[in-house]
Amino acid sequence: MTEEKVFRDNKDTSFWDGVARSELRLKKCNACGVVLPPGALFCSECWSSEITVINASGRGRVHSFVVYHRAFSENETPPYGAAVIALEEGPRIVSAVDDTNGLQVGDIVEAVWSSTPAQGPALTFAVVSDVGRKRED
Amino acid sequence: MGAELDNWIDMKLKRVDKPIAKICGLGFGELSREYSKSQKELACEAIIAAVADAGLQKGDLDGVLINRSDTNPSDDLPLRLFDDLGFHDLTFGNVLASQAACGVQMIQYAAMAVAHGMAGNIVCVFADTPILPKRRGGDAYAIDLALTNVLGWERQYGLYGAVGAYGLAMRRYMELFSAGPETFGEVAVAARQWAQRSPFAFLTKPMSMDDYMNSKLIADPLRMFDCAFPVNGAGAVIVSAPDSEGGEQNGAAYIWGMGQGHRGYLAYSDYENETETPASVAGKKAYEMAGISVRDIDHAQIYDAFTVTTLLGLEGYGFCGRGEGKDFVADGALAPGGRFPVNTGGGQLSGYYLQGMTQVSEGYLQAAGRAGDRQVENNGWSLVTAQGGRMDYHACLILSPEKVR
Repeated sequence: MTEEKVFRDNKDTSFWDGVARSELRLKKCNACGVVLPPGALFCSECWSSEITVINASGRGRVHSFVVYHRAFSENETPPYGAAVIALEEGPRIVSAVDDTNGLQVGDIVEAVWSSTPAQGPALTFAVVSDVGRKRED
Repeated sequence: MGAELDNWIDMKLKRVDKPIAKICGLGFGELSREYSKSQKELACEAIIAAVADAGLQKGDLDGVLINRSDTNPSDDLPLRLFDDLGFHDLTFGNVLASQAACGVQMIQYAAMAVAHGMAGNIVCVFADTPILPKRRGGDAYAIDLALTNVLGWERQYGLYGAVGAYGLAMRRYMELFSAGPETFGEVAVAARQWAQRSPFAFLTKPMSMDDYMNSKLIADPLRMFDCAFPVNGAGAVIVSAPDSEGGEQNGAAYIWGMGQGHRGYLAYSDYENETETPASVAGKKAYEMAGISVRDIDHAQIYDAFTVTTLLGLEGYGFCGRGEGKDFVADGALAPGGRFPVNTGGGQLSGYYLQGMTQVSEGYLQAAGRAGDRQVENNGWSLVTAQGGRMDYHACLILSPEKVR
């Protein structure tokens, strides 16, 4: 665990610069074309170190989500949702969807950047379309 | 997965006529829900009990493998255990710390060592104290699910640890395969029924499907009764060469097959981390080594830190195809009297959570015919599994009471 943290700590601070400008920055491998999560230092597919920063479109689909009914720290007030969003470029990130009522895996979502990031995460997602939604009612 | 499963079942089996090693003794350090002893103390208790159970003496032991939990600092269960136990001429020793699959992995490394004569009798011990004076058991596992490789990103969203990660797996399984909560309820209820027959189990109060459905949501869809029951304690087993003296009085379980399957948690492209695991890689290797097919397995001890891991374990190890677990577990199939006995001591859900050692200990007792009231009728071949990470690291054993074939 400790070693992993040191590795992850070797981070690209430009990611947070992007967040400050409401940009979600991903990494794209110049050699094989795969799009990787923001913190990739080299390509985990082909091991090329030729990678470029690209901006995510902000669109994606709900990969999965949970709704917490218990707080594990004083930072959260249950109930609250946490989700994994599969971005349309390929990488998946942890985030939250603004309203989890009726939310389903596969729903199309779009990035919502907070105007008051100091009060919570700068980035959440909102359902933008009923396309692909398998509503029961 | 359907086609892949057929390939497994139809694969040509090689003729294997002798086991790799045997498990021939089991001991516990006090299992409890309160902090009363250190990991080191618990580990020593378990080791001493296991050596006695195998009918061996301290001097017969020449190897020690320690599996420590990631819930506590590494210094809590170090190689210094050798000081406490007064060893001075071991030929084999190490600490394994690659998460919960190690409960099974250490048996594998010990089996390989005794098979090649590096040691004669190796004790494999796991000890853990998730419950500390100021920490509830469940909170020991509240760590981030890192998908981005950006430190601090995940923490912003309160997606904590094991319950979050396995809640995500449950949700995705439910939606991809149209499974309802009762699928997970089947797993929980079956485990509870087995637990009622085990003297080691902590949760023995009857549980109905309604009880399951009414249990508290923690990370919806994951409920309280989807979670393992953390305890402080230790378990140790003795691994010896098949022809050695250990276990003559109390019985032995012979190891015929072993496998591992690992992956990185790759959060991009179409890698499916939540509902597919490299358990299939571990299983294929182990069945090949044992020269048997998944159809030959009579009962299974499947790592069940959460109900979804039992389900995905059954699928990964080939008892059914991907997405078919919900049908496989239906109608009490895993419970006493059901079609396929699974986690016959109540598993980690209702028995006790000692990571991989939970399944190892029960697998040994069943294969050695020592499982008392819960002894399965047919214990010819069994599968024992463990996993670590977010279902990323898998290891399994194939056990049999038979020394020859």
